Amino acid sequence: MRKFPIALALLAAACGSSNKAKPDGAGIDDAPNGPPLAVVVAGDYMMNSPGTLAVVNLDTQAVTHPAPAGSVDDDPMIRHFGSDLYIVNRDLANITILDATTFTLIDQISTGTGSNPQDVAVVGNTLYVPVFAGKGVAVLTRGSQTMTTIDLSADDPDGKPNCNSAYVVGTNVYVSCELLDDTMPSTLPPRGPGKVYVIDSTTNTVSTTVTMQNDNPFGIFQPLTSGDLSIPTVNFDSPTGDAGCVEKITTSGTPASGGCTANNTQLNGYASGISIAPQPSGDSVMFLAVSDYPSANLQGFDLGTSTLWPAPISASSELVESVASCPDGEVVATDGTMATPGVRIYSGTAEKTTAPIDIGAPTANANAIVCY
Amino acid sequence: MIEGAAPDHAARDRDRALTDAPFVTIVHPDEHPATASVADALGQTAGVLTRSLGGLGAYESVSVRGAEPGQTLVMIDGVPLARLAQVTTDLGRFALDSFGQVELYRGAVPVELGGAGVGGALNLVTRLGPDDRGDTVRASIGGGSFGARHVRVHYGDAHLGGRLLSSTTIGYQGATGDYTYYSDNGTPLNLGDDRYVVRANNAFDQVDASSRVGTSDGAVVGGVRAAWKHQGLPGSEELPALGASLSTLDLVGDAHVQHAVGAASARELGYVLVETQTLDDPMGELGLGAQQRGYLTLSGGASSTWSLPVHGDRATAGVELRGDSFRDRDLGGASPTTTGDRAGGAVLASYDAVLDPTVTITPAMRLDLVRTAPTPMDAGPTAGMPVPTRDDVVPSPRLTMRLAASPDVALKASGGWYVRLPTLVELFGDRGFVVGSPTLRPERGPSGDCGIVWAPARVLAGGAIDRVLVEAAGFVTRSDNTIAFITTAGYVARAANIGQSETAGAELVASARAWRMLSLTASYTELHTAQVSDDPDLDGKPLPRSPEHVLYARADVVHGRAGGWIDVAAQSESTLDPAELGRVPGRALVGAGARVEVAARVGLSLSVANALDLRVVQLPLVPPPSPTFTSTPTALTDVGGYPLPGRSFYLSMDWSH
Repeated sequence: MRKFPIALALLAAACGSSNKAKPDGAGIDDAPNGPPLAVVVAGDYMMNSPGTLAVVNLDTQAVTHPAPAGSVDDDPMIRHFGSDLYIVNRDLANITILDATTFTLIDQISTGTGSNPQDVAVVGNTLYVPVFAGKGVAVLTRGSQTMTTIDLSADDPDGKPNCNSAYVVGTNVYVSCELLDDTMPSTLPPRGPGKVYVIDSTTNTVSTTVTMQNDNPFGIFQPLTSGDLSIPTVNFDSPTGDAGCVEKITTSGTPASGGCTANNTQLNGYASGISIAPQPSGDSVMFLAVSDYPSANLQGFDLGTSTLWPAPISASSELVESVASCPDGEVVATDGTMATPGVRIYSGTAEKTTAPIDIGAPTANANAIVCY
Repeated sequence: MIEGAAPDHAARDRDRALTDAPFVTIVHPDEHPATASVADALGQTAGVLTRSLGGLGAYESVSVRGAEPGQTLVMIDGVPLARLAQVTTDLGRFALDSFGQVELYRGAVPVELGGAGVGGALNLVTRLGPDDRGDTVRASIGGGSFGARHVRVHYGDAHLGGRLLSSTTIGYQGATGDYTYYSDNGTPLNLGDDRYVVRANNAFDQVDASSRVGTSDGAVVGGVRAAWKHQGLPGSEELPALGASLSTLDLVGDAHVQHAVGAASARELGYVLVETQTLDDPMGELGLGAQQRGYLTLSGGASSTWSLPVHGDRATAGVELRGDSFRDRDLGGASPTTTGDRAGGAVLASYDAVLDPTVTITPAMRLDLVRTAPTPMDAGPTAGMPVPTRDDVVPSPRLTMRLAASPDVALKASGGWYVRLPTLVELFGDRGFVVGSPTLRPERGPSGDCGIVWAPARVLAGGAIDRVLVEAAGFVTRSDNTIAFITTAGYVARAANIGQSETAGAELVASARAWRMLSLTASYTELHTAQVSDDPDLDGKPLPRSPEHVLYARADVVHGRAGGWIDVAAQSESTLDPAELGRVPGRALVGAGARVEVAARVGLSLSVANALDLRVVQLPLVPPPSPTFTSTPTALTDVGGYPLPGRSFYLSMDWSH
């Protein structure tokens, strides 16, 4: 957890996944030879407590911990771009870059003390990091300590636009900002609809600003097969406590809000994370980790027919925090159930695992699993 | 203190060590530097581990026999501090020198000393009248590294022909706290950006005053104590805060009367406690936004305890009543106020059965009945809706035994059940992102110990060695239903009973004086802890930051008007986190000091803390990034992210009369 245990919870929600889309200028995700791997990061939200990275072989369900100690902090999220893994350590405020095949250390770069990084997008050697406790986006360079900031604070009177996700489409970096009222720290109500700033990576300037249809883009961007982006939203300060939906941002032409796909009323909760799985039919399924305190489940949403699957995929006893779809069509999720945390594997509506696969540490983090 | 002979440390309390049934550590302020806090002094004793968030004036807590800090009840002159809003007391807030002595009940706690947890009880005691040497006035002033300074005056005297005793103390302490520490810049695997950084916003100013009077026979005693502190809150290394501050005002007033009713004796106690705190975070560095909050805790209580001789034995019974009220108010008015009350009482009974002149067994029982009530929400969807109160009925049976094997040897054993009730926020949430858990069970568990004390009155080795005290004890404790905040479903946090922890260990205290000029003392604790959890990633693993071996050793030499000392505080490797993913290497901190009596009753003292200037420790990296990169440097800490200072000096002058 970052500053506040609670607050960090707020920051923490958003679920990461990797998929087969072309996420950025770094190229297509490299799928190594061999069986699919689920890579999980886990931390216990206790400041200065180390986290861990576990690799689960989906064929054998064997677990290894090949990453160097110090790669993961107590409040991590993970992205997989190209041949690299990017671990965003919110508490230590750094980005750790590992080779996605050998898990050797490539670099570890500070995003600035106390900056509270939330996500990372990559264009060549340049990293775009939305920072929750700063003015917008920290721009880092691999192999360097230099850092510049893209100021996105003009729309937030408190000077902190609470930026929480970034994703590259073509040469543009899409950055979502929650625009929360930081003067009310106990509830952090949104000031209004969230914003998506489109940054031209060739100039590092904002080319377009999209006003979303919903408040608080709480999750992180995931790409649709069309090239558009999806991001979960939720307004905790609404009368129901969870108003919002998974909102689409169109990227072709002039970027704009594409409205809701699955809404939170349908989900009976809100999506803390999503993952898009292309299907052989050409359509896609959106898998969602849906939080409905005190439970959290895994649901499927058919994007072709805009239909929510009739029942949650996960058992009611599970506490699904993160989800990622795999190249072979399987879906992996972290189950944060207190007594038996671990990774579960699903195929369609059935679970392949009979119990969570223990990764050596509690798995209570969102955006904490990728599969390739 | 120099008296022409080396101090005799633990042997000062020989009588209590031999005759008290429980294992009690007595800390004497005059054996510690003038600026020492209660936590600093306790950290040098057996069974205690101190955790500090920084240097002088920083938040400090103690862990007794491996228990969480909140498991140790803290009292001032027998008055339990409030535990409604929080259970852990900042022991860095109390200047050791403002008390006459500090008593730590490491195991068994007498039932009349409030409801204690498995971490025992700590009683900060004001001493009335002149000191051991008959001095009535003590004054000291000093200054040192990182802006440390203090001034203190104490007056303790006898009046009305010795029938009335008094004690009045006023003191000031402060520091800028601007020491440098090693920063890895949040990148433990990138050494290229490491550097030394000056700790900022770490200053504090503290004033305390107390006055207490009582009859020499202890029949009537009362007093007031006030302490005010304003401190910067520097935050952690990763999340430094430059503008946050906390002001705290504590007021304690109490009085007790002892009287005889026939063969029985009765003790009536009444007290009030007030604690106000103002947390100011104008730049939103501690939480997610700017805030200014005011906390107020009001407590009051009374007790009546009766004791009656019964055929050579002694029966004791009593009743306690207490009320606490807490309010958390947003001074900016942006968020609703959190309030709550707790009212309760306890009945207690014990019986000192003297089986023969050498054996005393004391069974005891304490039954606490407590009602905790929040006020309804005043905003949001549940505004105005009634919130159910919470009732707890908690029995705490205890048994102690003492065997006087000889005039110099005592065997002791005790066992009992202890409890820590949930706080208001744990039960009912904070109206924000902490969700209440009204069905939370109290932390409760057994504690037992046994041991031996050897304190010969005679001199040894032909008169060369005297003041010998050896105390050895073994202990086991278990804390059930440990309460911790957990994050669920990605955004809310709530308190939950997460499992158990078990602790077993041994303590050894040894002290002796040779040739009346050299005294040696050592306190050693061996500690084995284990989490008991359904989660296989935690089950059986040790509690974080609980080293298996902790040693404090000190040597004092006195010759004529001059004396000096050297000490070492060492602890072995420990785990960094509950899942045992990281480890903290062992360490040893060395201190030294000297005092010269420059004129009659005037002394000049110099002390050096962390004399070897240990500021960096190497954290092992398993697995390592490369065969040549197997550890990474990080700042010396007790609590991760809160660096401790390096070498510091303190010069003080004292005068007594």
